[in-house]
Amino acid sequence: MSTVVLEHVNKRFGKTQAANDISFRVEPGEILGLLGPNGAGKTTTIRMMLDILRPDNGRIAIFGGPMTEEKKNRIGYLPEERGLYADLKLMDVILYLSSLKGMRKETAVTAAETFLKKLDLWEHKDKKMSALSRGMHQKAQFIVTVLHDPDLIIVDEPFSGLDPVNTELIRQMLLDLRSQGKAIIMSTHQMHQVEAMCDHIVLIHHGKIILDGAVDEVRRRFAGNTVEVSGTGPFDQLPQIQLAQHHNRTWQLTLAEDATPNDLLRELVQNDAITIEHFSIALPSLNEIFIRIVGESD
Amino acid sequence: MNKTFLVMRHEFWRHVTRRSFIFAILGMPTIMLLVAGGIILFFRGKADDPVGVVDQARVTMAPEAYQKITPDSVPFILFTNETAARSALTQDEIQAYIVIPADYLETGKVTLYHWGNVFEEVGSEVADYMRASLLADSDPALLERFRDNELDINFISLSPNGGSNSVFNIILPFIIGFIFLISIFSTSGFLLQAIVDEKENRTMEILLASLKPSQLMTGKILGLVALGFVQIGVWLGLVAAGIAIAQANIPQFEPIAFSRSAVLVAVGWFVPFYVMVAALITAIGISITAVSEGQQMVGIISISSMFPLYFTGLIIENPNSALSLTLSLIPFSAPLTMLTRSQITTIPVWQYGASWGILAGTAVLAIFLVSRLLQFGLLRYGKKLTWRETVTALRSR
Repeated sequence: MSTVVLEHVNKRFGKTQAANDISFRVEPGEILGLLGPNGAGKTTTIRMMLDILRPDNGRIAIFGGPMTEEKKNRIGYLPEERGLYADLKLMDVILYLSSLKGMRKETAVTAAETFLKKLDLWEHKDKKMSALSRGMHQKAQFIVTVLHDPDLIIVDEPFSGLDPVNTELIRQMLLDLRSQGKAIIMSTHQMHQVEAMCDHIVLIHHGKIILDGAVDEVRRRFAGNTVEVSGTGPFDQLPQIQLAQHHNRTWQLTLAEDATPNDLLRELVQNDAITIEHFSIALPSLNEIFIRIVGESD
Repeated sequence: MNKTFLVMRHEFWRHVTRRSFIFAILGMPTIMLLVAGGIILFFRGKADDPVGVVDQARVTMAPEAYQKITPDSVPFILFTNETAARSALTQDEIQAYIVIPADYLETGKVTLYHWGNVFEEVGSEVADYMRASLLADSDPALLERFRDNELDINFISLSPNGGSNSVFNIILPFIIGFIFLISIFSTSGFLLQAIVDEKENRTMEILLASLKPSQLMTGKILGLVALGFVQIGVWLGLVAAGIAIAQANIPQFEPIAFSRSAVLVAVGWFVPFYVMVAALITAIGISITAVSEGQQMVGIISISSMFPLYFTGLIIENPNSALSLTLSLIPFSAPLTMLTRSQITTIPVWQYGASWGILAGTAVLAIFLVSRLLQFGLLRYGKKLTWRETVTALRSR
C-alpha cells in the first residue's frame, strides 16, 4: 500500500491555480523530493496532504484512505520558517507538541532525552526557545517532527540554518528513517541533497508537475549527447566529437549530431593512439536540470 | 487525552504563568487599594482633627457635654477670639474653625475658616453641633432621639415584583459586569498576540498537522475563558472581601442583596460572551500580521460591549422597556443589560431563553466561522486578509 497517493488534485485560490492536476505516489522506504521554485505550489500540495486544505477536486489517500485524526498521529511535519513558542522551554515545547501526536508523557520524555542527546541539545532542554540559536531551533523542530515515530515524514528545507556537521547528522537520520521503512517527502532547494538522498522527484512549477521520475532515470533522460572520458590521446580530434572540454584530467566530449556514444566507444577502442581509463555517459546535475526545465517552461 | 483539552490546558498554563498576567491580576487591585487606602487615611486623619469655635452669640453648649452625647463626632474646642483660633489653625492644631456672629439667632449664619482642602463632612458635623446646642435645654428624651438621629424606615412592597434597592445594589451589577469586561479584554490581548505569532511563525501549521482547526480554536478559546475566570475569581473575591470588611466596619453600609437570577446571568451570560469575543479576537489575529494592526478592531468590539452603559439610566428606570429588551437580545450588549435587569426586576422566562439562545448561538457560529477562516488565513502569513478574501474564505470549503 502506498503511503501517499495524489490523483488529479486541483486547488484554486481566486485567479491563482495553486495545484493543477497533481498526481504522484510515495511508497514506504522511499524519499520523494518535492521540488519547484518559490510559489510553485509545493506548500499548497503539502497542506492538502495534511488535510489543512481540501482540494477542489481529485483524490488524496494517506495510508490507504482519507485523513483521520488517528492518521495525523502517524505523520511528522516540519514546515519552513518555523519559530515555535519563544517564551516556553525547549522540553515543554517538545512535550506539548508530542502530546498532540498522541504520545504519553512518560514515553515522550524518554524519547526526547534520546533525541536531545543525539542532537547535542540535552543541556539546553530547560532554556527558553528564544535563547536558542537558529540551528538549535532547527534541530528542536526536527525532534518534534520525528519524536513520535511517524510513518510519513514531511520536511520542508530540513537543513536550513544548520552547519555542515549538523546537516550531516540530520541527513543521516533521515536516511536511517528511510531504511526503517518510513515514507519521506522532502522539499528543498538544495539540489545536491536531493541528488544524494532522494529516490524519486516531482518538480512543480505554476501549480503543475513538469518533471516526475526516479532521480537516476531523470538525470539519464536529460543526459543528452555528452560523455565523460579519461585517459590519454587526441580526444579532441576524433570525427564523432563536436566539442571537447578538459577538466581535471577528464574530457567532457559533446558528440556530433549523427554520432552516438556507441560509435564513439567503438572508435576509442579501435584507435591505437588512445588509451581509455574511464568512459561514461555524462549525467547533468539536478541543479542543471532544474534551471533548464523551469527556464523552458516560463 | 482529548486534543481540545490538551490545547486548552496548554494555553491556560502558558498565559497564567506570564509575568504580565500576574501583574494584571494582582496589580490592578493593589493599585486601587493603595489609592483608596491613601485617600481614606488622608481624609480620616484630617477629619478626626478638632474644629475650633469662636462663639460671639454665646449659643453653643460646652464641647465636653456635646462629646458625651455624640462620642463619634469630631471634637470641638472653644476659642475666645478669632486670633487665637487662626493661630491654632495655622499651627495645624485644628482642621478648621467656625465663627458664630452675635446676630446668629437672627440670621442663622456661621462662617467656617480652613487652610487648604477640608473634609466636606465637617459641614454636617458643625450643623449637628449647632442643632444640639440649640436643643440643649430641651427634654432629655428629645435630645436622646436627636443623638440617635437615623430614621429607621421599614420598606414593605405590596406588589409581587417590587423591592427596595439601595443605590449600591443597583450599581453592583455594573461593577461586576465591568470586572467581567475588563477581564475579557485584558486576557484577549494574550490571545491576539498568540494567534498572530503562531500564524506568522507557522507554528499553527504544525498544530493543524496534528488536530482539526475546530479543535485548535475551541481549545485556545476555552483556555482563555479559564484564564479570564481565574482573573475574575480573584477580583470578585477581593470585591467580596472589601464589601465584607466595609460591612463589618461601617455601620451605615447596607447588606448586599445580590439576587440568584443575577448570579445566574453573571455566569451563564458571560461564558458564551467570552467565547464569542475570543472567537472574534482570533478572527482578527488571523487577518492581520502584527498586533498593533488589530487594536482598532478590538477597540470596536469593546466599545460595543460597553454600549448598555450609555443607557444605564433608562435601563434602571424602566428595566422592561423595548430598549431594555432590545439590548438584552443583541449579543454584544446582552450580558451587561441582563445582569442589570435581573437585579432590579423579574425578567420573563422567554426573554432569558431568547437572550441566552442568541448569544450562545452567536458564540458557536463564531467558532465555526473562525475555524474556516483559519485555513485560508494560514496561507497569508506576512499579508493582511482583505474583506473580500475573508468573505471568500467563509464561503469556501
